[in-house]
Amino acid sequence: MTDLRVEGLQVAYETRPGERLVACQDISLTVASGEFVTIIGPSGCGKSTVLHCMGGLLPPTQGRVLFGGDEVVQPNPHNAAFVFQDYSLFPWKNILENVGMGLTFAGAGKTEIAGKAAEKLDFVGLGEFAHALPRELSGGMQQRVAVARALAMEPRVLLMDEPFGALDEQSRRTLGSDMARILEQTQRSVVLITHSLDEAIFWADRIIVMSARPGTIIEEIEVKAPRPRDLSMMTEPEFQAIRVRLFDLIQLQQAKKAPQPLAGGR
Amino acid sequence: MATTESAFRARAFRARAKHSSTVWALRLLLLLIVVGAWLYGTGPGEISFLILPPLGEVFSAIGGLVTTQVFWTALGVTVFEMLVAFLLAAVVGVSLGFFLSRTPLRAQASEPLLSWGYMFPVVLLYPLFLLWVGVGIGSKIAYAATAAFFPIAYNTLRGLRSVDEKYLKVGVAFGASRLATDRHIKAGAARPMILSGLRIGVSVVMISVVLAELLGSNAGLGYELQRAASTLRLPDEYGIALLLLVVAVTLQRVLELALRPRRPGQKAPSRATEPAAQLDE
Repeated sequence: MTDLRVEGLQVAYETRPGERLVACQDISLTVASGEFVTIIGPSGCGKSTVLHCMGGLLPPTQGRVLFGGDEVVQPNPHNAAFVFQDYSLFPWKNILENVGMGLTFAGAGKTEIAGKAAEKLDFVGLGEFAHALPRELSGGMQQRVAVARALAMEPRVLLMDEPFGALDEQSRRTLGSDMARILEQTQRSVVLITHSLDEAIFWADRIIVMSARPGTIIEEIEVKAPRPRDLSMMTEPEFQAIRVRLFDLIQLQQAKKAPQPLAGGR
Repeated sequence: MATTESAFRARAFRARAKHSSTVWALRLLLLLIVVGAWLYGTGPGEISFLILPPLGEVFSAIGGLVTTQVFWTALGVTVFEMLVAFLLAAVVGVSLGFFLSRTPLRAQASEPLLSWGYMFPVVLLYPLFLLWVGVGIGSKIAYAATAAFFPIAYNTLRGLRSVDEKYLKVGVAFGASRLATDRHIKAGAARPMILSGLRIGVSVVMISVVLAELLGSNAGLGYELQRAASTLRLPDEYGIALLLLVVAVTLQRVLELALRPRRPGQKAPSRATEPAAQLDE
């Protein structure tokens, strides 16, 4: 079964009168139920733009996004909920209130909100921080809260926009593998944007590789490693092979963009 | 990490405590200097009674004033005017700020007007208020509320307009209605600005009410002050001025405490800091 279908998507901005900037074009992809899809590409390739369109935050210039057969015209967090790179928790609300924010917006009752929020907070392992404030938590913990906030909506798809981008290498590995395990349990589809090769492979059932701007899909790679996965997967030959392939694709793109490659003349 | 941070906090707290006791000692010293200068001026300094009455006489005037019905009635009138004017300015100013912040067009059109109103000395219009509303308490309330409205509305609008885009994006992504966005996102993000507008409003109301009573009225502490001055009851005049100071400072403190930026969701503040260290890595 298919959750999300993107058909011939193009997004263009008018930067100045008469000057059009095409962020991405000819994007067609599907996300099956329960599938983990990662989208990777050089920075500025429009991968976040694609994600924003998938969640209805941005109207496509051409093409369309379908959710279970219906065209997506505005965000519906019950279908697809976002996790943003900068966490974007509300500093004036405590953790529990932050987790319940989407339910509050949806007009749910107070006890229902508190119950569901507490459940999801426990689920990401932060139950004891219900009454803390966002600034009292580390970046990794704040991002878990943001995931709990998205999960509280019981969405079919989770749209994650470089969720670990602001963390250091170590925390992003641990949090990443943690998070991947947690999301496996929820049986939800996940679309994850990243520019980290390791992240892209570790999370994915399928990796979508995008070219530099204007971003198009240049390759799709399936990752067949069994789940649940743990960090030892990163040392296996299959992982390394895909990593080399991705490095090639993305490094190639970067080199095309900037005429003087930094790493090794080819 | 959490332990070094708490140690740092404790040190900062101790330094602040030491600092604040020095500040209070200096404040007391300044007060003593003023009192000393007053005593010297009216005693050996031979300053005219008409310029500065002796401190003792001012205090006995205060003692007399607080036993009279006239004083308490006047005080009641003045405090009533201040509270009503502030309430009016706050309600109208804040709600108009929210209304104007809803679209960029409204905000851009109205912001300069509000800032001009903020800078304009509204007291120049006081004679008009007298004309429109009469010499009673209505004109004081209308004038003071108008004067305080501008800083409140201006700060509210500014605060609401500068809400970080990333919070608004969460609202859109999670399907917040406009009302929910106002209530849960914009009000929270703009809270410090709105509160600072309200605190400015408090000061403006105080000044405006007393000024209006001095300039033209038939009741209130400002009116009594004006009467004492014109009949050369100098100790009474100084007495009322000092009592007015006490009233204004008290009222200001009470309202400021009510409007202080509070820590949101304050329930278990210390609990969170410790386990944070383990989960950090």
